[in-house]
Amino acid sequence: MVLPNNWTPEKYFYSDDSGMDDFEKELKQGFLDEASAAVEEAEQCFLQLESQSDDPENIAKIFRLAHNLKGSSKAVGFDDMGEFTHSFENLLLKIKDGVLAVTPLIVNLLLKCLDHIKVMIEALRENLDARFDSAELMREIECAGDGETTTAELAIQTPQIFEDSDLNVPSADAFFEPEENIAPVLRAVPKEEIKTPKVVPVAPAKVEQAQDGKKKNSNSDDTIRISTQRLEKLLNFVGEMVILQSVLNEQSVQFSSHSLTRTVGQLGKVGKEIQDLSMGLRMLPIKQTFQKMQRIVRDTAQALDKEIQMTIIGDETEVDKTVLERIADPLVHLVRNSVDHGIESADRRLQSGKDRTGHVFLSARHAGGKLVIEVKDDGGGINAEKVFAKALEKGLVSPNANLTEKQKVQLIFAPGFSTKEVVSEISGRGVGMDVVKTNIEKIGGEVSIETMIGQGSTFKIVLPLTLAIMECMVVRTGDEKYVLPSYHVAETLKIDESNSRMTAVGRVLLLRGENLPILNLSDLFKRKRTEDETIGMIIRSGKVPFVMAVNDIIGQYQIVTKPLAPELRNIRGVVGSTILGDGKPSMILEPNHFISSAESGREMRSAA
Amino acid sequence: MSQDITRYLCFSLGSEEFAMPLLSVREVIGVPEFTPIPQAPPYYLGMMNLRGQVISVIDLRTKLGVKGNKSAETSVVIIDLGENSMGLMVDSVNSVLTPTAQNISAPPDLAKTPASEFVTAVYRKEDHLILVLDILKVLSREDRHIAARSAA
Repeated sequence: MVLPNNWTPEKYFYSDDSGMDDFEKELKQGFLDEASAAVEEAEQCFLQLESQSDDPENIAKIFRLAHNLKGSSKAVGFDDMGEFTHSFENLLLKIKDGVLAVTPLIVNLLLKCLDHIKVMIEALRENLDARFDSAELMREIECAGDGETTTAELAIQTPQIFEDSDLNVPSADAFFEPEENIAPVLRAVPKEEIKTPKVVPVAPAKVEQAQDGKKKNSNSDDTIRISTQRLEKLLNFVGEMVILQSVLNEQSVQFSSHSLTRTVGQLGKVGKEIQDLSMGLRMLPIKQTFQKMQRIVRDTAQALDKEIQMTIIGDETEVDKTVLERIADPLVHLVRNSVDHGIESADRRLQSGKDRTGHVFLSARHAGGKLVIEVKDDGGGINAEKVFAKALEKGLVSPNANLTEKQKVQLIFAPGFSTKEVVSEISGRGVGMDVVKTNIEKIGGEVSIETMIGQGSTFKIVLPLTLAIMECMVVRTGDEKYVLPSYHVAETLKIDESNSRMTAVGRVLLLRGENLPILNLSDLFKRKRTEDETIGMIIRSGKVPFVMAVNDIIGQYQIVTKPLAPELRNIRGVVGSTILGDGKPSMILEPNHFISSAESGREMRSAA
Repeated sequence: MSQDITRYLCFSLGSEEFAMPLLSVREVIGVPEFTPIPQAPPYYLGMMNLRGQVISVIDLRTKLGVKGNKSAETSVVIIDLGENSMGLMVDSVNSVLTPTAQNISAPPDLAKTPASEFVTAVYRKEDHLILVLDILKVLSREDRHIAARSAA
């Protein structure tokens, strides 16, 4: 737990003063990491507590977490936090002993305490000597602790195994009896003894059972925390190694040595293995992000006085860390939106013959090499006509625009749109659905809505699993190579006189009854064309299908994406860079950028 | 040597000598292969692969409006910009200077040239002058320039 891996008695006893400072610092940092994890876990438990206030295992788990936190914080010398968590623990003890019933009010208070601890952790990260005044909250805890004494609700039922009842195995101090004077005792223990605590199994057997190999276990050495920076560096070098390997492969052909070829081949396999493994290091389960959503649903529902039950499906789904980071904000918005605009008030629900409690489903799954996240509610659905009327009023569409029901609903993604008359405090924080859409598109994803009046709506987000590796086609125009992500390309074909026509508004491809505009890549980048671009890439990933003409397709590869230097981020049609097999950098294209201007022109014309 | 004395990397562009703070220099490399960047201004040479990192390289000669010396051996100076790096193509890298108060002075207030806004000081070395550049300013203007171009 709080002991760093490299800790040895020698180091502790024989190092000089400065070494000890480092040791202490490390100890404190380690504690903060551990505490954040515990707080997140506790938050989840509290939410569970609200829906199932009588689960003794859950309560025991919460208690253990708090106890842990108290013990460790005092042990590493965060006395303010220790004091607060101590009073927090007292409150929990009352719940555990059945003296205090779990009411929404209590859960609120618990969450408030948790937020306070979070604040403390963050502040301590900045400054290890930070002090806190928690007197007010502690008084509140005391009042709450004295106020209620109902135990009726706490009838013990058969214990249930919860999916995430795994928990960190209780660390050293959790094994001590929860006595009031635990902290001084702990501090008096010589540090070398902390390392090998007397193991008293206090954890319920059920918890042990629920544990499986991949769950994290902070008390043993089978997980290591690594900074993303170091990981990033590793991935960079692995990428470079793979490139060098392919160069070596090419060079080895010159020497017709059988053994050399074989060794290079083997090296290639090992390299591929390392690449796959290291790429996997970036993948994390979406669980944490989903847990945050659960809290948001809860808080939002409470603020709006709605009864909402949230169901989470597939939270073990693994996603690239970068994708996770970027999806959190759009997801918060969609979830809030479902609670605020989607789910009707209890009265309305009863009137329309629905269950009083609204339901929000949040699900994640892998499908076809993509990540699919759905936010679904069983609310009133989106009224296409209302959306259209609103869009009209805001001047976002022309009154003559001939839109299908579905297209009308999609208008809520138009910039400057917001369906509620009064901008509510919950959903209307100045960012609209258009921001959600842009943010999702920025990471190569798409968002769509399905809605049925009276039945509810589903927001479906389709995202790439990872931003680091992409399946791509490398195309050539003139001497230049560009990388085109494969998901843009529906098919490729040769353009010739039989299937294309030159018109006054440009060249058009005749494809099975469709007339698709042909855009030359060389023109798009204002390059001199030395030969006719006769290979057509049919792009169907955007709103308007079109043909991008290139000279040649070099091949299809898995490429490692590199961030675009900031000075190049605004070039139209370019979203990233990569290093090709020959060691040269190349740009990753976003073909739909090319037609966004052409398309808006068309819309204007049809609107007029 | 005392820490507060700034040292400069001295390099040539055509027949003129320039200098930039040594601390901003990450490394100096030979001329690599570039991948051209579409829609970029002419002084943008392209992107290069620096050990797995993709960085942009600009031609400082074109940028500052100095006639290049075509035959000269050229180098690329990699500038550390914190989060990322950028390469600057120069004719040659000459030496490291440690100016003293006696031989460094404010830039002469002459007619505006593309280079004049980036010159922060002049270093007198025997009978010729070395212009000291604010290299971060040169590069930060680069960012804005490209962004403005493509937004238009």
